[in-house]
Amino acid sequence: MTKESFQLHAKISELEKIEEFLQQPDLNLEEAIEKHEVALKIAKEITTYLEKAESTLKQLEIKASKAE
Amino acid sequence: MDGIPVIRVSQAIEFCNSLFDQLEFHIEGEVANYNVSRGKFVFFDLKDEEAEARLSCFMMLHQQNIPIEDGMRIVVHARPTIFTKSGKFSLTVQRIEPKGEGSVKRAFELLKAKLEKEGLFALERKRLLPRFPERVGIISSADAAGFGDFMRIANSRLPGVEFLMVNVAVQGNDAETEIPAAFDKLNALAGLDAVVLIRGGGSMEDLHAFNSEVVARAIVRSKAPVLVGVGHERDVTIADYCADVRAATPSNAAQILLPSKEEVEELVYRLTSGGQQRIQNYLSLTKQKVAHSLLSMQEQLSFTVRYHKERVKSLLTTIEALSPKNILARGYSITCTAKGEVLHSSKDIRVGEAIRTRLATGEIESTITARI
Repeated sequence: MTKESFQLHAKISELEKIEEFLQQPDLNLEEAIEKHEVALKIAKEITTYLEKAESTLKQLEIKASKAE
Repeated sequence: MDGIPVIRVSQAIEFCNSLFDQLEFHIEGEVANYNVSRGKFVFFDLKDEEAEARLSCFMMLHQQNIPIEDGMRIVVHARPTIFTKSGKFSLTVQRIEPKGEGSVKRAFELLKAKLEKEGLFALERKRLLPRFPERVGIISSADAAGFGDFMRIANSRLPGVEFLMVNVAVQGNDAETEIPAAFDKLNALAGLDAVVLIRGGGSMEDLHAFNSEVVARAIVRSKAPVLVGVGHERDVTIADYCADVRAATPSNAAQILLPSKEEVEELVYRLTSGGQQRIQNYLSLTKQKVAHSLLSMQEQLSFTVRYHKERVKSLLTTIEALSPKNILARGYSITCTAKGEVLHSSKDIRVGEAIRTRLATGEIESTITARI
């Protein structure tokens, strides 16, 4: 079983599309609110992913300095 | 008449020459009127001063085995001949030997000067012996003490060398033909690293072959570099001058040709310790390179993470600012027609029509009573 990889660029691109959508003059209110909720969810996913990546990098740095 | 038949001049000469053909003289005398004609015919007189007698001599230049000049005492190996056209009596010479110490030395000097002029002793022509020879040709006499000395020393040094021995006469007239033939034989073999020409000590006469032109030219012709170890340290022959490397004695030739076991061990030690150092240097350089690329990779990744975090933050700020939900939370409301279209102006609605107003939480419905 292969682990599905996180599509960082695709997620950021989704956020950008929502930003673009919300800048339109005639918004459908319900749709705008729904998009906003989706944006919050995606932003949370991305932030979690990036924080995990940051922590992995820190661990690698520690390992490398110990190896030297 | 006395019964002796009358014959023609040419028949008489032919008859005399047929008798002379059975004769060979070794005649000693002093050279006079030495002359080379048309670059190939040699003429000189052989004088016997005490008896005031002389003989004309002739030989082909390419057969002249030693250089001679007027005043030298020599012994010629020759046959008498009468030349048909001139009727002149002459000796046809096959071989010349210098006679007496003075002549031997003079012949040596003359040949040395001749070969030096031709460039046979030139340093630029000299080849180096390989440091660790594997196949070596030896030209010597199997019975010679010098050969025994060479092999005894050689066997105590670098092991595993293949020796190809060509047994030759190392003194006497045969040496002059057998030594060049031995070189030709070794030249026909592939993969020889060196050829060693060996002979122990002896008188100037014993070493005669090593002062001959044919042996000198055979050494120069050799495909493999030639190491000459002839005689004692004080004996320097023409062969020594032509050699790529000269050894003082046969034993010294073995020492020059092959490194001792100690020298090989020392070299192996130096090479391996040098090799270890080079591997060590290579490893630490590679480690440095890997560490550097790891660091720059980590920096690049950290930058990418920071960049995306900032980008997401910025997008979220904009999205939050544009979100109608947040606008409503700040106390604003959104009014729509009964059909659900957002009202931007009071002109878009008439008195009596129903409108819906959305608040942060919940909605209200109202009827227009007046337009202000």
